[in-house]
Amino acid sequence: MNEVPGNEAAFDDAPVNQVQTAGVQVSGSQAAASDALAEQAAVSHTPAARTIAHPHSFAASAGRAVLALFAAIAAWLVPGLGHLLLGRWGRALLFFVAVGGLVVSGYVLRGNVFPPHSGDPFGTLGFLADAGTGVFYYFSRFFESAGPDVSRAAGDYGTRFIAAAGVVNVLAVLDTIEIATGRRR
Amino acid sequence: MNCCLLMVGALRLNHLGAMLLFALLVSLALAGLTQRTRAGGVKYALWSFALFVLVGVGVAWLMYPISR
Repeated sequence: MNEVPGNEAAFDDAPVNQVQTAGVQVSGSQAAASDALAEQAAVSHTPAARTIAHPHSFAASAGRAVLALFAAIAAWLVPGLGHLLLGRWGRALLFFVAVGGLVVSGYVLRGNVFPPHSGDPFGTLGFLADAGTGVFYYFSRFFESAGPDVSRAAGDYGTRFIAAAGVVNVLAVLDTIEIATGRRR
Repeated sequence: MNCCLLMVGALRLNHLGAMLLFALLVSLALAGLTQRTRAGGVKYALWSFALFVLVGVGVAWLMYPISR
């Protein structure tokens, strides 16, 4: 019942044995005794009733959507920046260290960085994974001055490190969106 | 022993070292993604790291006969 952002508190804060209607709280035993109140309670769970109960919910959800979009772009560009904008300092540092550590280790191990137009499906998948690291993708030439070397195990490991960093950062972006929309705290 | 080192320069890792580094960083990230409390995150990260290492070493031993 928490799909509508901005409406979580009304439902989460209600005790289990109570049915919360628009401005009326009725205990479970009373609701069972009164069909009219039960019917009113059922109606109050429809989206229209929620809109009436919370006239500012549309503006609030629109604001949250904009915040989520902004935080998601920031989180993708710089790992941890989305969480930092939302005030999650610890988690921001954690993602920056984890994603940054993985991708820089991958570069130092001379892992392969896939270009945008590789021409084969695996190359495209590799690019999508690598692009998940945000700005780190464009720093590959800085860290890998000698270029990738996948002829040895080190380069092969490095390729996996970079791809894993991108996937982890994409998951962090999704976490940022959930926090910004109020689905997670 | 030099043949087993993965890279020259600042980062010199053998295969086990690379696996431990990968396990550590991914475990930290997964803990941050899945847990909301610090205690839960530490517990999850330790558990995930241990499983990464145990499964990695186990798979390595399973593949050992094939490599020879």
